[in-house]
Amino acid sequence: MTEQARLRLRRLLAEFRAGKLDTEAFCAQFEHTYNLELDKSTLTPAEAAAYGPLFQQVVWFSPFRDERARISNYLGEADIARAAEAAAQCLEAAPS
Amino acid sequence: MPLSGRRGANVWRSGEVPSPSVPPSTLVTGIFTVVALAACSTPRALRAPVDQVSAEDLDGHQERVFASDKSEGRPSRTIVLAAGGSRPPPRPPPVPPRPPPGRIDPRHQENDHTRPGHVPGRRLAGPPDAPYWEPVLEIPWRGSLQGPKPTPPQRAPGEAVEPALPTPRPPQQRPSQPPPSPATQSPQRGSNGTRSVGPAARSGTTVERTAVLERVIRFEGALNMSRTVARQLAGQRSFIPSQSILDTIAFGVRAADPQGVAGQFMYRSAASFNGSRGTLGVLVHEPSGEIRHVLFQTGVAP
Repeated sequence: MTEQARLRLRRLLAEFRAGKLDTEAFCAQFEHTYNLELDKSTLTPAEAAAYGPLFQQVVWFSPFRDERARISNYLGEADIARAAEAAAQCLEAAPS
Repeated sequence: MPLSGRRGANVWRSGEVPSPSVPPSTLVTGIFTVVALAACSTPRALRAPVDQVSAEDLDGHQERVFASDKSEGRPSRTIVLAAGGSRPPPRPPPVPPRPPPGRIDPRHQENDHTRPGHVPGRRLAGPPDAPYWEPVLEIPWRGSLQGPKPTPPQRAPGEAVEPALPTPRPPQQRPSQPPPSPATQSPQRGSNGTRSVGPAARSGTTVERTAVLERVIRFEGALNMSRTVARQLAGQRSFIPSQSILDTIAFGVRAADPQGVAGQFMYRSAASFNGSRGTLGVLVHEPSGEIRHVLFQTGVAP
């Protein structure tokens, strides 16, 4: 279960960076997998450093432009894309 | 010995025999009268002593029992058998059926469809036979005339996923009601299908929390939340019930917005889901009462 969740997180991140997954679907699936399926004690330090900040970003995603303009807490597609790139770099930098 | 013979002997020995000076026609009439009277179903106990009847009608064993009872001066159980015989006592006439128990509702009598000329509905005014009828939808009264119940002890902040029992409080009028918004919020209805009176007053723990809840709960009972939150609660966060959100606002720890937005406060409460403990956080813009963020995060203490 935990191993599948870890693989799923990697697959989701890869598919989102490749453009196969839109931002809203990526945020929903990443949040569910990381929050409810993953045993965080089994993560490597690199994975914890990568997925933790990314999770704190995806939970604030809003698909509505008007609400993002009105509520400064919400994040848009560009913000999620930047967070995903940062997480991917953190994973690539760590030895597998 | 047959009983009739004894009866005849008793009749003739009772001194009712007419004298020879009576005319024959009167004698014949009297004989028939006496015979007819003797053939009537007069109880034997009235004409003979009880001990005689028992000795004549019952077998020997019962006769000995009767004798022993009589010698001891106790009332005998066989007297009833001798007087009443083996035939059961006559049954009383059947009792007419009673109406069903309970208070008689005059409305049932008023709406009795068996009456001639009846019109379904409730009579509004006028004499009983007036044709002022109108169909009425009656809603049963579920309240109580005993006043508000004593308030249970206040619940400590804890499991937000488990809905809390509503605390009965006197109804409270809302000072201002925001205009209704598009139906993007989940409904929050009472148990009887109608909006309960003062849901904010029942959930609020302090005056300030009650005021926040009054702005969070819309007039129609839905929660005041952004479209983003409504979309998330319909999707990946659909396991978070509305009552848990209200409980977190009512009982949770209140802190300023971690991102420092003015007027926004984060309410946190311990929660669990599928055995995973965590924290339920609700971000509320208190001036407008809009819920702007709802998240259950596992492995995080409130």
